[in-house]
Amino acid sequence: MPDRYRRSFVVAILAGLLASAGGLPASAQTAYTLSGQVLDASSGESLPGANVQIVGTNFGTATNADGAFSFTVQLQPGEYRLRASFVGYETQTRTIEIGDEQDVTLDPIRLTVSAGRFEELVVTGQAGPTKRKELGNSLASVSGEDVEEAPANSLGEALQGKVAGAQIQSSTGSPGGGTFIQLRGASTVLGDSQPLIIIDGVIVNNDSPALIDLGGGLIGGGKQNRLLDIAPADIDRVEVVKGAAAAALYGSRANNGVIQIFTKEGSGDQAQVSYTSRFETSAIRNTVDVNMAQDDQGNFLDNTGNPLGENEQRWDWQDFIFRRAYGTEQRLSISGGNSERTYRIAGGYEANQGIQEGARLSRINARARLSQEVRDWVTVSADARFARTQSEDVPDGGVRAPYGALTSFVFGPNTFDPRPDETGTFPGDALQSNPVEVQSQFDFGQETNRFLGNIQATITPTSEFTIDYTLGLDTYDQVGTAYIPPGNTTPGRGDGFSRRAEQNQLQLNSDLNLRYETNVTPDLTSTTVFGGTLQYENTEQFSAESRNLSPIVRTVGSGSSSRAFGDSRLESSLYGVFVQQTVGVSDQLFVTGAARYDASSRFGSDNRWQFYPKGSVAYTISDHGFWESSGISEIVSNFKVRSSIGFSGGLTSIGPFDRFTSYNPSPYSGQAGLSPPAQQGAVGVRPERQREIEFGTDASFFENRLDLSFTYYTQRTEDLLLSRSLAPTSGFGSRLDNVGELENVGFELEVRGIPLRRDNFQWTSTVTYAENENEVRGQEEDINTVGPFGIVSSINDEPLGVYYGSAFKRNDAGEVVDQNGNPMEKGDDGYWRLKSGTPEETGDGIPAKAEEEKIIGDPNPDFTASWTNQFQIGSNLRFRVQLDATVGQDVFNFTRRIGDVPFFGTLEGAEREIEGDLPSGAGGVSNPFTGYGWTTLNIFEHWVEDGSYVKLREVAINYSLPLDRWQIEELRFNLSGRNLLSFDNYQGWDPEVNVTGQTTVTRNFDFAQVPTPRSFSLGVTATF
Amino acid sequence: MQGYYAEQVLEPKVLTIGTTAREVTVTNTLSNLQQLEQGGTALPATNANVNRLWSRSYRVVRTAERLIENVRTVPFEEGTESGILATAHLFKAMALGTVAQGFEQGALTVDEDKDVEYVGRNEVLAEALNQLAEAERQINQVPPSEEFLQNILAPGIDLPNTISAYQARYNLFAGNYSEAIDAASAVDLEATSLLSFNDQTQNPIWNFIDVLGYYAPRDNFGSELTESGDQRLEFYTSPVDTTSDAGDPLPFEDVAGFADGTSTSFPLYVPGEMVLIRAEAKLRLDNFDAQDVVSELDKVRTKTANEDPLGVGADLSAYNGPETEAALEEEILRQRRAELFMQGLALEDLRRLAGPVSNQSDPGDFERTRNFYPYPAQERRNNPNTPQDPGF
Repeated sequence: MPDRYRRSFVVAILAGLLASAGGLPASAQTAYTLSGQVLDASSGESLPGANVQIVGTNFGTATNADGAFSFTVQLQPGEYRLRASFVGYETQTRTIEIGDEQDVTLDPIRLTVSAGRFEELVVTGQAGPTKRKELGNSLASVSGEDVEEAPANSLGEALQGKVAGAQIQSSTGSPGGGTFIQLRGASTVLGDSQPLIIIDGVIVNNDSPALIDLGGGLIGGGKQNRLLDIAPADIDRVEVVKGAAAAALYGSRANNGVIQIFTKEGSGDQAQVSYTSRFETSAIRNTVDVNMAQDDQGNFLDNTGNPLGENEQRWDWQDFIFRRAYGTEQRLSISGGNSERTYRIAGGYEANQGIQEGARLSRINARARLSQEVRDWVTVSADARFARTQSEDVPDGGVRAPYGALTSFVFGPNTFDPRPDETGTFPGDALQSNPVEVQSQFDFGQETNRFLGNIQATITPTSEFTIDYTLGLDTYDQVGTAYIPPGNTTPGRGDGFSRRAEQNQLQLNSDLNLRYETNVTPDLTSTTVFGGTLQYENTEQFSAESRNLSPIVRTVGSGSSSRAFGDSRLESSLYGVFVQQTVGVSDQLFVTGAARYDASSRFGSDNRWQFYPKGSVAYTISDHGFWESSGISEIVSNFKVRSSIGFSGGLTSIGPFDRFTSYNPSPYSGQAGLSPPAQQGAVGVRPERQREIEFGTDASFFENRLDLSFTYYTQRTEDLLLSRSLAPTSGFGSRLDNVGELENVGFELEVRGIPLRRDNFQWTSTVTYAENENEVRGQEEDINTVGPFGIVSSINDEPLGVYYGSAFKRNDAGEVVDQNGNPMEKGDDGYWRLKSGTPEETGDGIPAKAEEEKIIGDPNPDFTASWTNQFQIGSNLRFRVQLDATVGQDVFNFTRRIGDVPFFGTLEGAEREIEGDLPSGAGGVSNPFTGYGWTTLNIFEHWVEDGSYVKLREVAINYSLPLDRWQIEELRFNLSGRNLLSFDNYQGWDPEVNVTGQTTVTRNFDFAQVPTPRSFSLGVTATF
Repeated sequence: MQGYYAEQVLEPKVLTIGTTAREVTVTNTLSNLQQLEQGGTALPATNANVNRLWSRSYRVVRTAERLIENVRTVPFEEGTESGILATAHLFKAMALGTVAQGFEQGALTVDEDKDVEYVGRNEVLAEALNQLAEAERQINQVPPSEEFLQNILAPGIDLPNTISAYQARYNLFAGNYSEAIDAASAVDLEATSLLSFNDQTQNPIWNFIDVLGYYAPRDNFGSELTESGDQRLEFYTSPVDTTSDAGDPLPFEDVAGFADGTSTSFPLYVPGEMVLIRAEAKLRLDNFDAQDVVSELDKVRTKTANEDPLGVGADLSAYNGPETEAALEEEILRQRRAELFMQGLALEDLRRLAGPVSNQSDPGDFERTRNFYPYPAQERRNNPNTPQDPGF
């Protein structure tokens, strides 16, 4: 069906296209060229990128670097309204008259700064540029200027704290480390809950392929997510739509929201060259306290309390693991054009060291964009983007593999100097690798070559009718190699190990949208959109590995044993058609309805086509006459209420072939063979279905000095897909099934204000605040273990991913008790001690474990918030401070759980036990299996900590120096700091961490991950 | 199916049962292994090792049944079809037999559409014997083709002798003594039948003991009966002076024998088992002939490594103990414990030959820690027909 359908669909669209193109408008119209300039009203600075448009038509353009504009219109002579708008400024509309003169030069348009954003034009989830006041759903936007104020190394980093309701969390602080993005909580368990990312119309793959084991098996936090390939420097604007309301245009893939990124385009008539050079340095923000146990005479003690040998001591291995890291970035861009053609060519090279010895990331980005007006009514643009990302990685965080550098640090013991001796031999303890050896001798790395391209055509046969076509391509080849030399200290890998794995990814999207806008009556506007999309995805992975290597040669072929390879090939397609109708009444009330059909090849034919309707209404009450006449408008300048409902579904939440019973090839003894799978196929499985309802209001106060946006939402996913167990006597172990549901309820608030506005000083301030509550319901089994650590669970009536496991024993009063029933309390250092007195009996002061397991933590935050202040001093100096807070989430501190056990004995807790500050139990210090550390090792609740933090995320000073010398137009200096401070009570490096990387359910698991560093950057940009 | 059995079923069969029957001790602190080592009520229905023994056996049953149902839809030559059918019936029998050794009741077949019914383990054994009879009938009717022997049957497996050997084994367990004697006598004692391993498909027993370090074979086969000077100790283990520090401190050895390395083959049965089956079956016959039993036992006692195709040789003196039924029973257990060390048979042997456990709440170091396993929680959750768990 799909193929035949696809063909006829395309033919139908093309036929329609030709038919409408045939009916071009009659030419009682004249060509005029309008030109002018848009300026800041207070400083007189020109405003590049401002939007200028003739109201009610498609004629318009953006201003160039000098704030100037010039565009051609086909109009009959008469009076028209010209609207100039720019993000952060009040939109201005002025009436112009055109008559005999064909070249019309207008007076400069002066715009005043505004916190209100009612007139801001947005496009995400809409058929075309649409004013915010028409939106029935919330939409967050981030301007390129905001991103540029404090340069970031990744898109995720750049967006942190800038979008209300977006949880953006670094999985690790290594330079290629992943970033997890989630809007409004998880809406799936099996699938990816991260939003759809669109860059200039191309659906961009943001997978986190685990090609090499960087810790935790192939689930480790070292996994890069492929958004890493996109340099944040080229961003013009980001729009974020958080829920199903976006789905009509993007379909089921927008189930988790959409982040749409628009990158800079060429503009103006004069070529402009911009060159940026940046220098960066970063270092660990705080180290953890390690075990430096000593006796009263100052002798270092081993893990059983005996003095170490002569010339032996305990070491802080962090000294050999972390370093001050340096990096640079160079970028060059050329852009320009004229009224028919614009172009932009940009490229950049970045290289950054990680704060862990041996880690490094470099990235090359090149991009060319060309936009050509072929006819008055046809504009074609093409964009080609190449990215090459290369990382040198250090394996960390493994709980399965014995070769993580930080893992080895945690397991210790730190009783020897890990540096190599004069012969170059690394000392080892046969328990774990030597971290210094891992960092300097192991060769792990990844390399990605990626091409992103699109061709877009915009055809406006009449001023009312627009056809948009986008063909987008995203393809990359990621290669991971791992090499462990033979003759190293790692148990089980001493003979060496080599692996090479690669992923070839290709994604195509082909989207056609037809839009018809008309004024039915002067007070009634109608916009109709009809569109379709075809999407194709192909993912192939190949891997080979071996052990027992010959010396020197690093390739897989060098290994003589455990040779193994993996080969997986997956492809899927997705089709969608939709129609959306918006009716606007008096520019006050906007009602939108849409219907969409989506099909995914991942589901069986009975469940393939899904119907997703949506509806929304936006009503600007402040446009009523009474608003002004009653005087309310003096306080509340604009007031709008909105509501929307949308349905969507997770059409990609299961693998392309997951619905089948797939046998695994398993040759045995030289003969071909297939082995039966544990998972039974589920041909009848349905896509998850999500319904989202939101209510909100947008308001601005005090002549747009203060702007407020509030949204309340409920989001319910039904037919939640989980793997359910089967009776083994069925011959299978599990099957995918639609069981249960998942709900997110919350609200988002964003307030922007201009507390101070003087001629030479301006203070703008933005606060975001969001709460979300998540709940799982209706699972067959109340408690399901869904994470890889046996404690991450999905429990009915509880948030997804709560920690369920062994807990403290408590007395009737609810107090934690020790082995002898004495009540205990938690000290500031995170250890539990007797409420009164000191331990006397054996077992005193050692917490007891409850018989029953229970919920011991929740990794979902109570709220996220940010506060950004920007000060403009004169026209050249800007100062910016951004604070981010994530509060109420628990973190499982697996790092401390291991390091505090005297048996391993690396961290502070072990020191306390060896020195006698914490009780060592029946066996005394010499027996590491009876004391505080060994007992609490199995009381998981002890290691669940409050991970709340407030971070000083960004501080930036920007100074623009206007120059008219050396052909330089402007020099801009930037000094910024990122992640400078963290206010938290966490007993580890950093509570913002996750060892499993960007996984949906397992969150906030801290095990031996590099913390996010504190970094400073100094840059200069010259514009010619 | 053959590869799945070798890679997946052999491990729980040998090591899970071996732990409960005290042939091996646990040397790791993982909680599922500690539960298994403790046994009794400390071994919950959720234990992963018990689940593996059950689930993987039924996975083999399913695969065998799919082959039996569908092989005729493929136009194989006759001898290929009979070979495939015989192999499928044999492996189904081996899987059902494994279930019967670990569990009090079991299902005779798998069903993905409805909940299966349970029957007692004797009926499970009877069904295994039916499957073996069908396997035998297939290859007697049409001898397996070259195509089957070269390309389908896993190298190392001797189909006719394995069928007879398992008939002997299960008839003995089921109490069909004369059938057991006949079947055991039909086995060519010079032949071997092996699951072969190599670098790609590694010996799982070696892997779990040597690479993962989860288990280790105990000193003296974990039995008080073992005679000093028994050369099989040297065959199956290599001595080290170590005691496990995880859980109960029990002295253990390094593994050798059929788990000596990555590529060591593992026998589906050892020839000595046939002789011991004859000895035990003869002892069970009415008016047993003690001399006859002793002469069978002596074949095993005096056998040297060179005389055994697999190198299993006790090289002990002839039996000179009393010839009472009880004494001979003990001697049979002594010999089975040594000759059949770590082959997944010890729990059945202890139940049959070692008498009741002295104190079920705290079994001694040489006593089994359970008679039968609890039914896996995953089974109970999804199949309302699951019977009550045995108390011990």
